[in-house]
Amino acid sequence: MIRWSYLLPRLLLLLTVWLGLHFGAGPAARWAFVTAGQSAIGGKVDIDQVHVNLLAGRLDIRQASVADPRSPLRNLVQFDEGVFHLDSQALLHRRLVVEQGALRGIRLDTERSESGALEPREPAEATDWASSQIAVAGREWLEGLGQRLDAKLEDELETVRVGKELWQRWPREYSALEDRVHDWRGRIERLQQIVKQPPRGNVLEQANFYQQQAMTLDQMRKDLVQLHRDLQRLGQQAGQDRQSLDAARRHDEQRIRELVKFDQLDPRNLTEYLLDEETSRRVEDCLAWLQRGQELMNVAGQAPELNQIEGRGAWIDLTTGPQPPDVLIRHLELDGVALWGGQSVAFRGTAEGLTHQPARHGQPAQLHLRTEGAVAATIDCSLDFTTQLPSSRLRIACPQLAQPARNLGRDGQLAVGVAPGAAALQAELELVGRQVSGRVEWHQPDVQLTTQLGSRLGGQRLAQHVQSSVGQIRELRAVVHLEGELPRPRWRLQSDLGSQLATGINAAVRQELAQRAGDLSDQADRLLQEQQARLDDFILGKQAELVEKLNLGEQQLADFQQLVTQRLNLPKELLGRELPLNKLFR
Amino acid sequence: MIVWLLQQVSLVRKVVQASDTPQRMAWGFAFGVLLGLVPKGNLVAVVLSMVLLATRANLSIGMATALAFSLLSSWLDPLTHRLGLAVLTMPALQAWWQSAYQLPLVPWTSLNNTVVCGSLIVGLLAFYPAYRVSKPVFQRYLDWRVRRREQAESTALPATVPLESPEAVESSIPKAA
Repeated sequence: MIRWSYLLPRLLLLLTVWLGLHFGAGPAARWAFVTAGQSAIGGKVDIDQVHVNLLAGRLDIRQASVADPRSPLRNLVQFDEGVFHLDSQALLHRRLVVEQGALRGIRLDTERSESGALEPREPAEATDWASSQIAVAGREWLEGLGQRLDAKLEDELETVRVGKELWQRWPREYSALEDRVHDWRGRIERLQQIVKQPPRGNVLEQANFYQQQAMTLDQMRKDLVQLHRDLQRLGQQAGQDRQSLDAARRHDEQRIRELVKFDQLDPRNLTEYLLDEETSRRVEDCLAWLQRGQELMNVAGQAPELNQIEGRGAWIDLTTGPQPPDVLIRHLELDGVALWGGQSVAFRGTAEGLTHQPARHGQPAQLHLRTEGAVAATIDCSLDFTTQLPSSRLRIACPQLAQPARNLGRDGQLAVGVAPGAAALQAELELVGRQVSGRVEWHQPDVQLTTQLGSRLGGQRLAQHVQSSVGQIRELRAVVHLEGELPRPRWRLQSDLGSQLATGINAAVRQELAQRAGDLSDQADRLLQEQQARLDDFILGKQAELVEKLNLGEQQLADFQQLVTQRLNLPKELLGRELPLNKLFR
Repeated sequence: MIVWLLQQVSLVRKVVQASDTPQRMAWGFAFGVLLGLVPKGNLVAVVLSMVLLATRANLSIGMATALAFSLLSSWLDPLTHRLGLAVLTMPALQAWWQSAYQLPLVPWTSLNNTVVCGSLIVGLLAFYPAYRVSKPVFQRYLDWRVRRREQAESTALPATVPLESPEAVESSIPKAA
C-alpha cells in the first residue's frame, strides 16, 4: 500500500525544486550577472533573457547592454547574443570557467533611452598635454607675422609725419611774416600821408613834429632790417627742415630694414601647430581606451559581489598552491560593429583570459580585434594585472585608413588643406602604472596639399608663394613620441611637414617682406620728394613775394625819408638823429 | 486549473494535519533546528533539505522549525563566527580542511565561511538534544489530541440506528427453544 502521507509532500517538494532549477536558474543567473556586472562596471546592466542548461554546461544570454558610468545616456557595450560553454569540472569546484564563448552583435558606445547611472563617479582624468605649448608658439609666431604684415606702415612713416608737420608750420611762419610786412607797410603809408599834409603850427612845433617823424623813420628802418633778417632766417630754417626730412627718411629706411628682419619660423613649432589637434585626438583616444581598460579591471577586482567580501562571517582560504580565479573566460569570440572616425566598422576578434582576479590567473588578458570594410585594422591589447604594478599595452595597425578632406591648422590663420586619401596608422602604447610611453605613427602617401592663409597673413598672394613649396610635398608623416606620467605626459611630435612647409613659408614671407619693404622705401622716397618739392615751391614763392614786398617797403621808406628831409631842409645824413633844436632857442 | 490547485492545497493540508508518531515529529523538529541555523544558499543547506525529505521525519514540523530558526540564526552569528573561525583555523585540522576543499562540490558547501561552519557545528550539536527534548513534548501533544478526540466523541449526539434489513431483524430475534 502506498503511504501517500509520506510520499506526496516529498514528491511535491522535489517537483518544486526541479521546477525552480529548470525555470529559476535563468532568472537567478540573470540576477547574479546584473548584480555582479553593475558592481564591476558601475553602470546599469540590462539583460533581457538568460538560459542555463546545467547538464549541457551551457549559458545563453540574449539582448544585454551595459551603461557607461561616465556617460549614463550611452552604453559602454551592448550585444544581441552571448553563448558560453562552461567547464563542468570547474563548476563542481565553484568556479565559473567559460572554456569557449561568443558574443555576437556587439555594438560599442550606443545611445540609451534612459539613464544608466547607478552612483556618481568622479570624472575621468583628462589628459593634459604640456607640450602643446609648442603649438601655441607656432600660433603666436603666425599671429606676430600677421600683425607685422597687417601693420599700416605707410601711415607710420617718419617722412610723412615730418612732412605733414612742416607743411603745417611753414604757412604759419610765412603768414606771420607777411602780417608783419603788411603792418609795416601800413604804418609807412600812414606816415607818408601825415607828412604830405600842409604843416601846422609855428616853426618850432613843425620842427619838433618832423623831428619825431624822423625818429619814427629810423625805427621803421630798423623794423625793415629786422624783417629782412627774419626772412633770411626763414630761408635758413628751410634748409634745416630739409635736413629733418632727410633724417626722417633715414629713420624710415631703418624701420623698413627691421621689417625685413624676422625670426625664422621654427619647423617644430609649425609641425605642432598644424598637427597638434589631429594627432593629440588620436593619442588621447588610444590612451583613453587603455585607461578605461585599466579602470575596469581595477573596479572589477574590488567589486564585493565578485570577491566574497560581503555577507555573514569571514571566508577562510583553504586552498593549497596557486588558486585559480573564481570567474574566468578562457576564450571568447567577438563580432560586432563600432564607430571609427564617424564610420560604422564591422569587427571580429577574440578575448582571452578575462577575469576579475588576474593575479590568480597569472596571465594578462588579451584582446585581438580585426576590423573589416572601409577601415581595415588590427588591434591587439594586453592588460596585465598579474603584479602589483599593472601594465597595459595597445598596438593598432591600420594600413588603409580612409581620410576625408580636412584642414590642418586654423582657418583665418594658416591652414593646410589635405585632399581625401588613405593613411596608415600605427600605434604602440604602454601604460605601466601611471607611466605612459609609446609612439603613434601616421603616414599618408600620395597626398595633395593646398595652402590657405588668412587675409592678415598676406591672403591669397602669399599663399601662392607658399603653395609652390607645399606642392612639392608628396607624403605626410607624423610620429608622436609619448612619455611621462598621467595626466600630464610629455610628447614630442616629429614630422617633415613642418620643415618642408616652414622652408616655403620662410621664403615666401621673406620675399613678401622684401617686396613690402621695397614698396615702402619707394613710397617714402616719393613722399620725401613730393614734400620737399612742395615745400621748396612754397618757400621760394613766399620768399620772392616777401622780398618784393620788402623792396617796395624800402622804396617807400626812401620816399618818406626824402619827404622828411625836404620838409626839414636837413642833409639826409642827419635824418634819424635827435637834433638839438631846443638849444637853438636858448 | 484553479480547481486542481485547490485540490492539491487541500491534499497538502490533510497531509500536514495527519497524525504522526512523536518520534517522527521530534526528528522533524531536530532537522528543522539544524536546517534553520545553517545559512542558506550553499550546498550544506541543500543537502540538509534533501535529508529531511528523504527521511520519514515530519516534514511540516521540520519546515516550520527551519523557518523559525532561520529568523533567529542571525542572533547567533557572533557565537557561530567565533566557533567556525576556531575550527577552521585549528592547526590540527588544516590539512584535512585543505584536502576536503579540493574535492568536487565541497566548495559549494561554503564551509570555509566561519558562520556556515560554526552554525553547522551548533546545529549538529543541538540535533540530538532537540530530538530528545521535543519527543516528550510531542508525545504529550499527541496524547492531548487523543483525549480531546475522545471527549469530543463522548459528548457527541448518539448516532441514529440504521435501518436494517428484514433478514437481519429476523436473525436478531432470539429463536424459541
